[in-house]
Amino acid sequence: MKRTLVVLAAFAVVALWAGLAAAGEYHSGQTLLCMDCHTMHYSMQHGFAGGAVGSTPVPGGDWLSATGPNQFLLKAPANELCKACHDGRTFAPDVVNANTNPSPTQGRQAGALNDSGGAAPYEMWKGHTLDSTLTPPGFNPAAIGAPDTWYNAANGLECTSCHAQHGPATSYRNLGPYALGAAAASARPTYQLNAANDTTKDVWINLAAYTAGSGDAATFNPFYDTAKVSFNRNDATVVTLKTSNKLATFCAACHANFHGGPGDANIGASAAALDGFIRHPGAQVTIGAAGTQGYGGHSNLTRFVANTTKVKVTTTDYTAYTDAGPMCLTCHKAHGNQNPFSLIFLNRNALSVDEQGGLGASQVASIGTNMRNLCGQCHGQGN
Amino acid sequence: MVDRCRNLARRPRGGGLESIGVRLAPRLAVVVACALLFASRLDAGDFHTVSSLVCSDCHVMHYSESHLLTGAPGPDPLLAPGGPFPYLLKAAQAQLCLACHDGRVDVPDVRGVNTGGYVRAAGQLNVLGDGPQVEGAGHTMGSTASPPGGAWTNPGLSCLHCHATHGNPYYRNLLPNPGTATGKVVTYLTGSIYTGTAAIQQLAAAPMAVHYAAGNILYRQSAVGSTDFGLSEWCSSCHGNYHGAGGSGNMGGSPSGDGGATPWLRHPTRDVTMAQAVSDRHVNGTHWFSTLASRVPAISPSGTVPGMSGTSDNQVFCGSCHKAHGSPNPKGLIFDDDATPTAEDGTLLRQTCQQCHYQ
Repeated sequence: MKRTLVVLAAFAVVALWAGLAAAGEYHSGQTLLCMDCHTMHYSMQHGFAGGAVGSTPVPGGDWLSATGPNQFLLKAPANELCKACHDGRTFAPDVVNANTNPSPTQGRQAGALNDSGGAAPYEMWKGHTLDSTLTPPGFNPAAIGAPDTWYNAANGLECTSCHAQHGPATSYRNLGPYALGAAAASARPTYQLNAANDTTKDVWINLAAYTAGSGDAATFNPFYDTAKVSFNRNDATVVTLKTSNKLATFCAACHANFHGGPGDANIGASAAALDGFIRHPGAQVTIGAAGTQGYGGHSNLTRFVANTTKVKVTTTDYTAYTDAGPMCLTCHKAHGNQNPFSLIFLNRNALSVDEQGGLGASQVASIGTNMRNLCGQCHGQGN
Repeated sequence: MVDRCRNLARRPRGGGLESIGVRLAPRLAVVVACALLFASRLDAGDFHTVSSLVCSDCHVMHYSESHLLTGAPGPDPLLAPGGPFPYLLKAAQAQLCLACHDGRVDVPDVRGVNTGGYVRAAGQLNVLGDGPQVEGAGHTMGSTASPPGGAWTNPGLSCLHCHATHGNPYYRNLLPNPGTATGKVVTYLTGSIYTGTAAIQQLAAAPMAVHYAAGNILYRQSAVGSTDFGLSEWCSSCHGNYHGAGGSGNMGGSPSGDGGATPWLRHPTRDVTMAQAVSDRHVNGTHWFSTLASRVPAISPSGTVPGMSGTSDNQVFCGSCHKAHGSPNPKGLIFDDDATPTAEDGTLLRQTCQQCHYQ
């Protein structure tokens, strides 16, 4: 009898949450379902509807992994738990290696993670590697006000190293891990889910509406489609580091030495001269802008505007791109892809666009061509 | 040019006039076939330009390569310590070019002895610190000396003072208007068929040992109409006192030679053909026009080297006596023993002078 009551209660809760399924990210607000990830006693003698409990993940948390009990009362060890639903399942976005689901129009916006020991074409040098114990390249969290101890490489890279597992309500993709502490406020990109943009937000998901938790790729694909996601330019300075989008600030939590704008010590140049860079700027530069020396303009706005297939930039002007500038995701996929350094090899007039980029007419892929395609989005040298 | 002429010298002569186009037809057919073979993946020209301008050859975005683009363990051996460097370069500007172009067999070696073995059209650079004898034998990277015969303010000579780092349509990516110049470029074409007014005809663009070999380069123009043009004119951007039209104050002579009445003040580098020089009794009437085993380069608008003493259009230019980068010899001079088929194998300056003057 007791067991029946528990089951009924669980169903009631599921039904209640389903009815209130929220617009926006999953694992957030009304779609943060405790039993998706947690088990109280690592003991499910039966499923929510009675009967046997499988070890194969299913929507709604009605399963239990064969490994446990686990820390934080998780159904499986941390990364394994996330991958249980997000690797090779049709009911949730597949974020590891090849996409089990039909691809969004231009591929997954974040691309694909790889596993330690990852096999081609998703080797470990092609993106973020789960469980990797390497110190992140350019690690300098103090630059954004985060403690050096917020990330411990020895523990291995986890999904929750980037994503806040309990879904901050307004953060794009639930980004901004709790371990960042107070610094998370600068590293949680806001987003606008609407056909109309709100340039005060960091990210624009160009969809009239979306309801998370559908369990169906045809429904969730547009939400994760590269073609639907854009990045607004909102210049700010975080501690000493220039930024143009909180998403880039978020990346800087691990890779701060590579982030910043003109005048930042790690980037070089100055806002006035726009020359003398020692690293590629990732913030507060505008494509084609010339500095006071007159020969700034390392990049070419006319060229970029004419691109029929553009990489993502930070901008508030999606017509003339008068304030468009580069950010991390201009060149890299956040999770990774099939290219070294998860670079996006996208020709400016590509015949088609996917997670790897896209070749132009009659082009044959090679590292030289691929790199030229990416750099050539903004830079006209040699063309 | 030297190699090309050397090969010509081995062939039986049907007459005094040697048409390169006719004589090389079978070989040129092979060259054309090779060019077509490579056309789909190579530009018919120089490297570091158009589709062979590979950003990552020289630049690194973040000065952080935990691994290479191939996934091989990092850091990139070309990533020099002490960075990040200005312009996002993999090494300091003065070192970057030579990181690839010195001592490697897969890239044209432009400094010192050629690891590639072939006779380079441009010869060998040297670097400040190589020692006075070496530094006196050509262009010296890092030198702040003013160019002989010119007034250009040298901030420390580097490759980019002559070559466009991102390529251009000109020969060897040579920079338009180097030094204090205006309006100076070096046009070229690649292939066996010469048309138009290109200053240089490069017979083939591959393989590398052919592409950059002295014998692959034909010098075709020193002027278009009366307009100064070509490699000599380009050199004059920095060394202007040594170049000019016949009759100009720095050169002496006249546009049609000196005729004995208007003596040259400096050795001419344009306007005067071998035939004119024979007429002026500066060039020997037989030696240059005989079957030499090897020759120094000369400009020939008709592509006919050496031609006949009474009609030869061959012209001396900077590259007749000097290697653009330099040589093992003082002033980057070419010493060539014309009695041997090996190019640039001479030991004395007079061997070069005597190819034309034979006194």
